[in-house]
Amino acid sequence: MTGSEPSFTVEVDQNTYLHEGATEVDAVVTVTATGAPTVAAAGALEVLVVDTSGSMQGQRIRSARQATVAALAELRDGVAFAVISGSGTATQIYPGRGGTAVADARTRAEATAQVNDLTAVGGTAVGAWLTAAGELAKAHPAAAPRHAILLTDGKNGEQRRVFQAALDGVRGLFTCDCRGVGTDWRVEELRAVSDALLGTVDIVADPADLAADFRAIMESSMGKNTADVALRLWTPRGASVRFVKQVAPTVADLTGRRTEAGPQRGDYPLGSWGAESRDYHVGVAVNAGTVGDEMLAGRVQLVRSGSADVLGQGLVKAVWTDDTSLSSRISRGVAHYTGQAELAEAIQEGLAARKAGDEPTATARLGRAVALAHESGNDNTARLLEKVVDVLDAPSGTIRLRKNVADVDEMTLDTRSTRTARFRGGS
Amino acid sequence: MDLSLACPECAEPVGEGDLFCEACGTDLRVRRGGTAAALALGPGPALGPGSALAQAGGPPTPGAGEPCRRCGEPAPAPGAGAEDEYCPGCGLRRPDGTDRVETDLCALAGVSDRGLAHARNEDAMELGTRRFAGVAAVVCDGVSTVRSPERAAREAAKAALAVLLADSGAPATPGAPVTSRAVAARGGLLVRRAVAAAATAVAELGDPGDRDAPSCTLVCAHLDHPDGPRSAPVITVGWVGDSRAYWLAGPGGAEPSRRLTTDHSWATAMIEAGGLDEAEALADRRAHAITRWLGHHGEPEPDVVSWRPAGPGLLLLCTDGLWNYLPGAEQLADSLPPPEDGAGPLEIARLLTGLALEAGGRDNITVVAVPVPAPADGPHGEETG
Repeated sequence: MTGSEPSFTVEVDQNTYLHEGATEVDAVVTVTATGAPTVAAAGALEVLVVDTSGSMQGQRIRSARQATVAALAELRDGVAFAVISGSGTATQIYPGRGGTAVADARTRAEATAQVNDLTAVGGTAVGAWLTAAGELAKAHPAAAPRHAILLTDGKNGEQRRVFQAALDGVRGLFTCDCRGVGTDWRVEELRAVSDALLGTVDIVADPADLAADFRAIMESSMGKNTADVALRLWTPRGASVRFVKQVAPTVADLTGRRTEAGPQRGDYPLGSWGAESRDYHVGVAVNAGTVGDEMLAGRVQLVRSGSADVLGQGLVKAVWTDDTSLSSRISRGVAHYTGQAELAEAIQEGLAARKAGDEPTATARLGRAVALAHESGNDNTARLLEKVVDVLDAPSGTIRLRKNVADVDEMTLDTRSTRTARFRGGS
Repeated sequence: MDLSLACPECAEPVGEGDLFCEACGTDLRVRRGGTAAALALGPGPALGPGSALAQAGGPPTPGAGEPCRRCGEPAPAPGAGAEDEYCPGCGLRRPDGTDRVETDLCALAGVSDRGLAHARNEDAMELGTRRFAGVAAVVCDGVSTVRSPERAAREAAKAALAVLLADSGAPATPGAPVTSRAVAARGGLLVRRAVAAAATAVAELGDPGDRDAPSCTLVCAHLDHPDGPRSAPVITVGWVGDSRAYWLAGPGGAEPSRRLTTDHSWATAMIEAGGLDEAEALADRRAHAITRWLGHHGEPEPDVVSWRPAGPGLLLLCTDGLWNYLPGAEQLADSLPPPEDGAGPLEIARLLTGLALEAGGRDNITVVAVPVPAPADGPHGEETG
């Protein structure tokens, strides 16, 4: 463990009151890490994975080189790092002997020289690239955080089964932020990677913007100074977890990522943290109580992965009442994020329907998305929607599909559909 | 009784006539009980008569409670922190000792009950007597729309009682030249100081600007016997919010039954403004919205009445969990057992609480009964303010 670690606070927003017979308990849990965010992550591992397939020729490979060089410049001294050139296979170009180098002026310069010699030849095998990064992560089990940047511009050439097996093989080994350059890559493929590896995914339409983007990713990564943390959820006997979702800054379903952590307890991986705040929507189904009963429906703890160290805790409660003025209230945080999750779903389903030529479904789903974005004040998503549909009336979600939509606009909307507007408590 | 007495604070043995505990200095002339004591004891049998001076051996370990009433899970080991509040098996909240509190100090008694619809008892009561001096009681009702209302009620009741019992300054010698008016003035001052202390205690629970900071109502009474313990008392009642005090006439009816307090509530404001009659006002969903309270943005200014009853009767303090069902003083008086039954204050408090529970128990119910016997000697029946 190096440097000082942030401290965590856990806040719960919910309506604790349930009507008689009700069994579903919902809460928005806000986890905030504060303190000492910029301490050098000297124990960190950073792997840069650059697509050097044939399609990258020309401007793209030049921009990829510049972006990777910019990322190398952000590496703090002492961080273990490596650069992988990805084509039909994974080729580690620095350090050439394999393993990792320790960042300092000399190693950064050596790596930069190697990156500047990269040429674009061959196919695309994202699974093989991730597996190579995973081997490096395995060799640094104590490094924290372990992080990779993955850049690609094309569709993965691997069989779905091979790709999936590779993803399963690296899950939990490192976190990975994915960037697609141009419009020939597949949003669902990179989203599968970022979801599995608890990172972000975004489109960089103009290769010229890559360097700035990589620099930002590295700054954020160097600011993360915790080992992996997990959300530990205790639930009462007889209860079941309906879902655990990250809902801000982006929507990511963690329900299937549970690992058992003792009786009535399960851990959901949250990756590594800098000074930041994220919201989670927790849904639990409990046995109904009788009027006047109060029950602990869930205890949310933040723990260091694989340990018993509790870094923060919040309680999710249920109180049964026959006072409908209490039980009919909906927590505004829960309502907001239920809407934001539906918004992401509506966009993804609408775009899929549009691609499949199902215009009625596309119109209905994207219309719903427009209404939800409007209602929740998610202006960024509303603007992206307006590039794909003509909005006739936003509050009711009345829209017309556009005939000609630029690929970049459609992919941008798809990629960023999971970004949510943050709910702010209070008035 | 062959059990030796123990200090209520440190559990060291004390003698029957001791004024102070030799071990920790606690003032043994003061006897008190109520919600705070019940909370310290944790779940278990209700406090019996005379329990303010606890039996030797001290209180049982808090949390060393019964198995969960729903799933039978054994109680968690003490010291497991906040988790103690809920059953580690099924999650049901474990009783904290305040679901039903019964306190009997002989001179007065009280019952505080969770009722049938609320998950927690957010009412609190504190009762106390001071040898050679006075009797005091405080009843508070936490405002349910805020966070941790029970904490507001508990802290307010404790803080107010501490002031009321600190020292009434009443002369220990019967016949000392003290006028009832002077005693009443002192009672009024004491009650105002008690309410101010309660307001401060509640304010300290929340941060300024916290919209959900805990708050509560308060009604308290102080009984002073300026002409000796068996003389007619000077009674001072102070209140903030809609918890009430009643005088219920005893045999002879020399001092007629009546409500002593006027609610600081929306309903009362509407009735006073002449807009609605009582039935209409109380039927409105805003009826119970209070206009004064202790806590954030509240006006903690009490109304105070002070007088010396002309005959025997019963002083009653209660929360709206009782008076919602029995609002009239005559109704309450008619509910009491006949005087020849010789019911003590605890029996009376239990009986009235039982009536509220039978009627539905929609809210927490707290009832404190202070019998005022016919005076054996000395003056009484003066109007003092």
